[in-house]
Amino acid sequence: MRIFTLILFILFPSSILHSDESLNYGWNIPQTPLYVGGYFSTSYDPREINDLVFDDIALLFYANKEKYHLLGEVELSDIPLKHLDRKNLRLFIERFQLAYDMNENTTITLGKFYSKIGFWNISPINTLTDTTTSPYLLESTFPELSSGLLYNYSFDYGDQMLSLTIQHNPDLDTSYNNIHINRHYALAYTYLSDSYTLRANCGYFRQINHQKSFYEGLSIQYENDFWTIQSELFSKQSTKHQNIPYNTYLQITRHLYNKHDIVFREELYKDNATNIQEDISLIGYTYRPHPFIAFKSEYVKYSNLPKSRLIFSFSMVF
Amino acid sequence: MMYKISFMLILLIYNLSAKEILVIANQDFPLEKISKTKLKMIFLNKKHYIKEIQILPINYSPDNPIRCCFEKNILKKSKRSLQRYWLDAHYHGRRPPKVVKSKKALLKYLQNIPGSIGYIDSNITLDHNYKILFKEKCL
Repeated sequence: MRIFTLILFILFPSSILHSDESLNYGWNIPQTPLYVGGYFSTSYDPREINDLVFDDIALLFYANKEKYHLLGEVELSDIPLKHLDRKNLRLFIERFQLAYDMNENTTITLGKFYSKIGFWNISPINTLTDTTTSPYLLESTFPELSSGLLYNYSFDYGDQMLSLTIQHNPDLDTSYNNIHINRHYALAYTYLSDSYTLRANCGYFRQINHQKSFYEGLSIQYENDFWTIQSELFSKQSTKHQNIPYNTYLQITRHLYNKHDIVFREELYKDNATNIQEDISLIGYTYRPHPFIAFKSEYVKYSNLPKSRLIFSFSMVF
Repeated sequence: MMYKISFMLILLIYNLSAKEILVIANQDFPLEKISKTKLKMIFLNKKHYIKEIQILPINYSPDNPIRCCFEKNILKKSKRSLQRYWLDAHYHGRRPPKVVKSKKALLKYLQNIPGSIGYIDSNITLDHNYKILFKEKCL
């Protein structure tokens, strides 16, 4: 644990000092193709007992050598700063994957990776997302992480891609996933243009308690210099009456003067497992003094809860 | 009528004076011509191989005017959007292209490395060591 903290403290200032973009991100171990980086996120939510929390502190390492690409990520998460109990701290393997370029169109990845489903799931860390809180569909609809094989095929023109996820075994780190699974088969088709990204997704997973689920969804994003508009619609059919008939959101981000963003999000879902039908409205403001640093504040209103929520966060990737 | 002619003339002069980018590569580069989409994929580190040859894109430093033109016209991304893109790429274990400080350094690099690809402005005479793969006006 001490070594982990020490590495983070060495990496943190080195990323601030460099102005060249290739040096901002990660630190190259001399004479090797290995890069080490990381990220952290801290948030303040006065509604919670543990109001000040380190959501994530993570260490990243990766290397690219000819056709091989290695990536690993270990993380400490949800650390309360006021009632810190060191004994409960544990390092999780969030990702560990080895990719191989089979040819110019095909890459296969083995290991533990983010399931290539939707938008939020691909890069879910605070600095990279537009808001501190994530839409409900990320928690409930499909497994965020998969342990197995990911097959990516990009069509010749480069604007279309197919991603196939196959997990036929238990999770690599069973404690770190939103849904504990031992089977996951998923397919995503992506179409890219200069401003639009469209992704159609579907999949099947089996939980360790033998519950089986199918899900399908559509994700669309439009982006220009001033606006990013994103929307996703998912649905899940499960055994044991755990269906989610609909789970959707629309998020609009207005980019102001490069460093400031204003975000609106409207979410709507119905979850038969919890018997909740809810609509969640969010308004947020983000200040990015540098692309890899984000100060966020957001106000979230829930239709089923009497009190709304105000959250502040500070996050950084290095 | 006069306004129309003046406008056409201004447009013509602007077009003639607009800089042109030449995308060039080593003589052994596996393609003779390249599409804008493929270029975009190469310079965004999404395509690593063409016909079994490893592709190595070379870039200039972020404030270089020819790079700004390349990003605007070929990558079709703003500075903000690219900064976010490379931060995200870092999280997925991908790096931005190698950066050189000058045109001279770029040409030297392209001459010696088989799969390397870069770009220059058009007012330079190239010898037989390089291939021109793509041309684009800076708008």
